[in-house]
Amino acid sequence: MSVFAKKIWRFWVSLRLTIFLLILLSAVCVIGTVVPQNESEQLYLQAYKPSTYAVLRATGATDLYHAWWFQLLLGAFTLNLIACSLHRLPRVLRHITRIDPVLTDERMGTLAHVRQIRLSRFTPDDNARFQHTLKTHVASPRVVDQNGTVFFFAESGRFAPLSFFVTHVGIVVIIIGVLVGAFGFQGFMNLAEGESSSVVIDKQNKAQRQLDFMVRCDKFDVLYYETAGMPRDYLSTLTIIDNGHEVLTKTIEVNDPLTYKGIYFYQSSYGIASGGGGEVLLRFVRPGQQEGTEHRVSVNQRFTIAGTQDEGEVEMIVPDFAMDGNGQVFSRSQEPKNPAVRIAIYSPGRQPYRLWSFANFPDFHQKPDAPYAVHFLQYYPRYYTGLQVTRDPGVWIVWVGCCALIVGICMSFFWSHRRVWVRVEKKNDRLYVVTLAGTCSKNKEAFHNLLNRLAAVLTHKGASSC
Amino acid sequence: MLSSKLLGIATFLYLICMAVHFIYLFFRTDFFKKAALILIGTAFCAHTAGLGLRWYESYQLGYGHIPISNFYETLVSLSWTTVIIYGVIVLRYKIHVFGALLFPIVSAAMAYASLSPNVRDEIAPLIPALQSNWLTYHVLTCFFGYSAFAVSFVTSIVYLVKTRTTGQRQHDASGELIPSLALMDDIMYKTVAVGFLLLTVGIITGSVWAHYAWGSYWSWDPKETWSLITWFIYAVFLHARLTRGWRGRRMAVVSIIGFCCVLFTFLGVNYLLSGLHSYAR
Ligand code: HEM
Repeated sequence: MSVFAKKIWRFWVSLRLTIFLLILLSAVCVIGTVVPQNESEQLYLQAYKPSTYAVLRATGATDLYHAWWFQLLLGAFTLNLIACSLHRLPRVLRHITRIDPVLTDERMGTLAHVRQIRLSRFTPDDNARFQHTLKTHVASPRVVDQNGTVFFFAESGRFAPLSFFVTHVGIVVIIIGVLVGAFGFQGFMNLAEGESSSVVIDKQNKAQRQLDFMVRCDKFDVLYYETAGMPRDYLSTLTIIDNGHEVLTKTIEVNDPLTYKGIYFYQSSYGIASGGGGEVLLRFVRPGQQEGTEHRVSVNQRFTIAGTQDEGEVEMIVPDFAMDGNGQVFSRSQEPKNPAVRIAIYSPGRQPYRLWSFANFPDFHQKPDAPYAVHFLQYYPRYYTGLQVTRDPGVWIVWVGCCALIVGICMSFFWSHRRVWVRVEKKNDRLYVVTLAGTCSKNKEAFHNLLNRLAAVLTHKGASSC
Repeated sequence: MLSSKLLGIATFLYLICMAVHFIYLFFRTDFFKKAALILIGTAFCAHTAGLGLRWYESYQLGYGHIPISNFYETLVSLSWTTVIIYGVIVLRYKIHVFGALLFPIVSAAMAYASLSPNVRDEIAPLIPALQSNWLTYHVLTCFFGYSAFAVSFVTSIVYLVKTRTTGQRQHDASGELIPSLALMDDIMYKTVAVGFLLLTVGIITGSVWAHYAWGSYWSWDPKETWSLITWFIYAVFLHARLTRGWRGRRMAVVSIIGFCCVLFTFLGVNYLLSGLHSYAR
């Protein structure tokens, strides 16, 4: 590598750059949380002076996370992460694959924990006991005998040094998943009950997008908590129609979407379908009588009032009744705030009689000359369900990356690479010098205690330790 | 309701805990250490019983859910997780001085939750978006993480105070009241490590939940973004320590900055940035 290339590589693998980028990214993200993102121009002009708004817009601060320079920062961070991880990997691999059970004086110099013990004897029995202790506290030792000097080597958590790599790969995989996700889309569709469609409106550019199957909304329902009157659940029953066949029916709710061919349908909003529709429950009472007859009917459906020759018809259902200055009826909103129906009553040999009936005001508008008093008992509006429709081909990659990230972090925090070397030198028949040495990557104190314990096992039979 | 009474008792006991810790700072006798431990244990039992009962009561009201859904419940639960993490540290390292900083925070959170008129303490039903098991996993992991960071924060403060008065010397006369700098450095690191793991799991479970509830695992919402900022800061802490060998005062400062981010993620986003964003859709 040329000097120049080396310099560039040094720059990209440096941890100083990581720390700098992490702090810079944090600072930039703060801006993104303080400046409202992707709001309307009107809202910004309420909050900021026009000149400030112009600067915010020009720098991309109003859509910060999609600004080119923010993406560039993320890119630099990713590059840093990849370079740094690859740079360290060979060294770590070398470190964990080169195992030398022989404890040389040179190696001893590099180890943090070293203890020496003098024993008056070291019987095969002692040997077995000691191996057993190593096995229970570290791992089964390898034993090497070199000209009467015996070496034990025990190692645990051998792959722990790779944990940083698992962690970083996890992050890179998440980033790949996010990038793959860019090939998907997010959109929405509103489906009235009974309606089916294959058209999704893209969230970003509002363009129409054609799915290669149809979705039908069979039913929409809102459930309420009995005591609190708050919505408890929004439920839509959806059917997928692919190639003319009904292939799948599922009732979705918030937190439980439907998936078909990689496309997710989420319960997102609802409303009363425009153009009225739905059903009403009416009670027709003859003047002077108490009891009446009840009918559940939909709009423009002519029906015979039970027990009579008369017929009725609901001509119009208005969810939120209001009148404009000219006496024209209109619906103030799509909420069932003031439901009203216009009913026509056809009695044989008489002019049709028309009247309004209001769900909220049972006694209003009931004229004495009317052939019936009509009580508007219940309104069953025809709802539409608002579905969010998403395809994200990268989401599984993101989840895999997340798992690797968690596993990697657990490995690096809780898994220690521990190595213990033991050398038993026979000086003469009455003197054995035992050297215990080791390293560990985590929890040094516990490791120190472990070496003490191993020493204690050896000195158990009345030897001196120093 | 009985659960409120129990939580009131817990609040009261935490206040006494705080007082006992202050007294311990002056009269460093074993008696006050023992008294503090017994008080913490009793208060914690009342706290746990109160939370458990509140959970049970919510089922009796017909919309049962784990008590972590409104501000009152989050304050009480966050205090609970903090006492657990603190308890682990006390039992493991036999250090009592951190309690003198921690219990004012815990009792203030508990007292604010039950006394402030701004905090509604009735058990409310869950809106549909919150009805998910992921809510439990997400909130619990985040809270245990926040609590670990809180303990790290308290340790950092003690560390800074000690080095201000005695310099970076490892041994000094404050003796057994304030632990050695090396030990505090170690506690600071370990609590941040555990907190980092839990925060990571918390962010990921939150993403999974958002994926199922709203169809997008990440949407740069202010709360999400602040949790990411917090995560970045603690990543700086870990890397500076592990590979650049930072120790002591510098780490204490990073840990304090990190905890400020935690506080902002938990409170600031809801109260200072609330004008234009609303998290609970
Ligand atoms: C926010 C992103 C990052 C996270 C969450 C993260 C996480 C981690 C974790 C958990 C460890 C293991 C610590 C341990 O061994 O106890 C680690 C180690 C390390 N990371 Fe990162 N990392 C991130 C970004 C980076 C970047 C961009 C670099 C590139 C320069 C980097 C360089 C290192 C190095 C050199 C180590 C030490 C490996 C060792 O000594 O064993 N990290 N990282």
